[in-house]
Amino acid sequence: MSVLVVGGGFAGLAAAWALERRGREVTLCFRTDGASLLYSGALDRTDWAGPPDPRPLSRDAEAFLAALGAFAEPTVSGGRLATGAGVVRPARCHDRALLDLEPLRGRRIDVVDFRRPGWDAAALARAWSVSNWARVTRSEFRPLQLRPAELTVLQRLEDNELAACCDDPAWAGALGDALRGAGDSESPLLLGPWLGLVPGSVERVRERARRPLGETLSGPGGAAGFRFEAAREAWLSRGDIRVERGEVLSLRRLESGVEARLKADGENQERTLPRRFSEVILAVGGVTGGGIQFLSGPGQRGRSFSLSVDAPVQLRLNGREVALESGALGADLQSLGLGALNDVGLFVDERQQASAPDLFAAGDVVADRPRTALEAVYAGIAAARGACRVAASESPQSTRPA
Amino acid sequence: MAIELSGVRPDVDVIVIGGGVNGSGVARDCTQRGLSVALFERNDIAFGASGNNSGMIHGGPRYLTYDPDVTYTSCLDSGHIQRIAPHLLFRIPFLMPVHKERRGAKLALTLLDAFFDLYDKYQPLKHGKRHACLTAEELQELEPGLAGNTVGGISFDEWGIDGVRLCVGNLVDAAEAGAEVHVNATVTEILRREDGKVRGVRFRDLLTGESGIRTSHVVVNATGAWAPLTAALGGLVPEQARIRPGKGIHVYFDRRLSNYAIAVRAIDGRQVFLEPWQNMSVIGTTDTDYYGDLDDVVATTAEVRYLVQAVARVFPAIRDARAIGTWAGVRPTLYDWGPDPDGLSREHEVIDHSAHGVPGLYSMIGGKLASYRLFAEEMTDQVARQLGVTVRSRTHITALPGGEELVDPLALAEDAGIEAIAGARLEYRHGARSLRVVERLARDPREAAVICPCEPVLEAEVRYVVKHEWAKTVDGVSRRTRLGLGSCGGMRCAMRCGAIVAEMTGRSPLDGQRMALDFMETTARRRLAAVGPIQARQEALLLASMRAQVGSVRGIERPSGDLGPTGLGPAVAVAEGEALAEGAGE
Repeated sequence: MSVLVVGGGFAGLAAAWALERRGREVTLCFRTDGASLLYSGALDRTDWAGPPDPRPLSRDAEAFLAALGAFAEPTVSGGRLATGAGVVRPARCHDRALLDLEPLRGRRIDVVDFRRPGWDAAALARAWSVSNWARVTRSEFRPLQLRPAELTVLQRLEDNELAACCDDPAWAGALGDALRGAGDSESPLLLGPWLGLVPGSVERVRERARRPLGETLSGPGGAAGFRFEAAREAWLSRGDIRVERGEVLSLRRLESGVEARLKADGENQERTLPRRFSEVILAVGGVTGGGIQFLSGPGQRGRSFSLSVDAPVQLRLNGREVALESGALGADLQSLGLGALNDVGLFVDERQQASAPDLFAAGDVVADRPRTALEAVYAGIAAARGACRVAASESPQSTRPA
Repeated sequence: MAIELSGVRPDVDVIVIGGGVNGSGVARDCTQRGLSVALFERNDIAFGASGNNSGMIHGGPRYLTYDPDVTYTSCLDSGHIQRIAPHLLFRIPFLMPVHKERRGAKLALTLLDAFFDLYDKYQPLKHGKRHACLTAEELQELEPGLAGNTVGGISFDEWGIDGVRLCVGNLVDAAEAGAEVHVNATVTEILRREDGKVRGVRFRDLLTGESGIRTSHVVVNATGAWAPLTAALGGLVPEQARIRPGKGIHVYFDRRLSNYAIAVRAIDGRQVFLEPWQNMSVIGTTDTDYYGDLDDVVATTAEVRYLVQAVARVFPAIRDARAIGTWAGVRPTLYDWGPDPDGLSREHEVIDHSAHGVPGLYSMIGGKLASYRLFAEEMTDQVARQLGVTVRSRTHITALPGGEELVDPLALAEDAGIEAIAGARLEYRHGARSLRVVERLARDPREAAVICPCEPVLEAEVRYVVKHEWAKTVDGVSRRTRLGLGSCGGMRCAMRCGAIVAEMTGRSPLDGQRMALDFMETTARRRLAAVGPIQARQEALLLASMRAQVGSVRGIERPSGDLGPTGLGPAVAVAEGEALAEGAGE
């Protein structure tokens, strides 16, 4: 029987990939928006405020990222990326349009200044130059003013519109040409998130510029999220996975398996999916992704948080079941603290199994885990593995895990 | 130079403690009368009630029944403020609907009509329009968002103002006439001579840690709710400058939800309101006795709900509107035991502490925004009398900086090549001084960059307020320009602003990042009380974005004051982590 994966972000996609690799039939159900499409381009398992995460990528995670084709080949030590807030941060791996600073230790990096509003190259260069990474590695950032006469849109367009221009091969080539001789023609170039909304555009620029170049991290809603979406669509277009676009409203367990009701995009009527599913993986996202909703105000009886899918699950906050009854006036978020928004999630065991044997969860929807893209990938793969093990133990003749 | 009195010539004639509207008003009046002044503000200009009020210089019709003098002086002084700072004023027409379910609703409307007839007598003082008695249909037509069965209602006319800009205007004027202004400098002691008379103050700069002494003939305690604490610095007991502190909160929304301000009755019968204010809508206010930390007054969820519930009865759309923040302040009301806070007098008085054995020390108690100028004049009269100065106050006829002439905001925008809305907002805040802000663009066109798209605020204005208006942090810039207070919660502007402030004040980019984080943490904490289900997603998004770019979500979640094991705040903790890693690897 097939597995239903709800959610098309990093976690859901990784789960679908792992299930397919193990020979399971998969239906992937998702709406378009979520935290993954708002991510920055950096992939890490933990929050990175401390020392960089030393764990190398697992083989499965590496293979999944390679399959998507939007990411740089992971290095043993991980990389260093520049953020638009003027910070140099570590990252285990990253979108391949971003400039990894680690191989550029000790060099001077030119921060390209097209005189775009909102991109203060001088201030950013100063901030990156005094970062600990730059001081320890004796690297230097310097603004480099460039005004290619033929590319006037460089000053005018919004970040994402500019990135869209780069998807035009001729335009990307012209940009590469303009960057080739800039400055000393050798120093690596650091740009904002403007190098394409689909993976691959950046290579055209690099080819023509013939020097290392790349982006900073994207802000929310920036180019990196678009490139993840484009990579997902390209991967799904192979047709190996059944895709339903829409919002899963409820999951109901029947004798014949789990039944899912769907409100498909562009359709007015709800409908029940024709298939029954032996396992379900919930990868619907946390509060940002819309998978967990915070309830407030009169008329909101019961819990103060709920899952966007009606399913038999347990919500947790800081290791305890969320049993906060919202009173006549709703839940008091102030008393829970800002962290509650991040931390509330589904309780799962080490196999990503939620409250029922056929129900798994992965990604931001899970309680007590870091809300990071790479963690979501790992959890998605683990949930797929868990689902396969359940299937294997219940029916000995089913496909064995690869 | 200071006056010589009985052989003593101190550094300055007058030291003013407190950069609120009373303190800055006194500083301005003193300098206009030829006295030399030094002003000390512990936090920031308009940090307390002056910057956290309803943003109106209203005549106070509700004081009319028991405190008609307050209504008279408020209306009179409101008229003066209009003359000296015309750019800062905007009309707020009010509607006060009367609902059918109220017992004797028809009679109530008739009584209200008669009451406002009386208020109309004061309206000419503040150039207000007469009230109108409206039918239910007329009310509905004027404000389609009104709900419920009404028998009709009353309209009346008030004026809105940005209290922070008013304070800044007074201080800039004082400084241009020679006053010293010390922001982020706390007075640690009021110094006295052996005979008890005031000698000056000892102060400490909270940013640099440096301390010093400034001597004077007179010290004016204009610290609002802090007044008892300040008086104690001079050896007085707090009761000798006693106030009854009343906390008031406001919730603000991401856009203007109505054309008119709407006065409604809360569940306890108190009068609260929804008002369009600058480019947003505000609901307010509460009035409760307050005994907490004056440097950290925050609205609570309960207070927010009280207001939302009251407004929603008459204007239901408020429940679906997006609240983007709260502000809270503490009124320094005249002390009285017994009456509920609403019933306390809004009168003001000067306490001459020579009665308590400290000649030369005065405390300003009570008052309201609308009559700050008059209060400052009365205070300065006393100071002048003590120092033998006979010049009369001219603060009601001389324009505040920017109020000298009216500037056409559209022409300003066109000449400067900036968006019309940016020009209009700039002109509102700076009046004729907006010309000086856009002059910067001629020198460096890059300063036309929009730093805060919500308000909007240009880079030139950020630099201008750092240079000319004592803004020392992102929070300071935000208070003066409203940067970062829009729907993005500072996500799109705080870091940029922090970098500019750090550069201009000779601090490191890391300091700039830390300032930006401090600001975002503070506004996030204030917003939390008003966050609903939809906004919760926005907050989570803000956190995720901060985590990706700065790595410091914990910095945001942590209660203020705790700066982590390094004691240097979140941004530094990031760098420390990096350093550890580097050290381990090499």
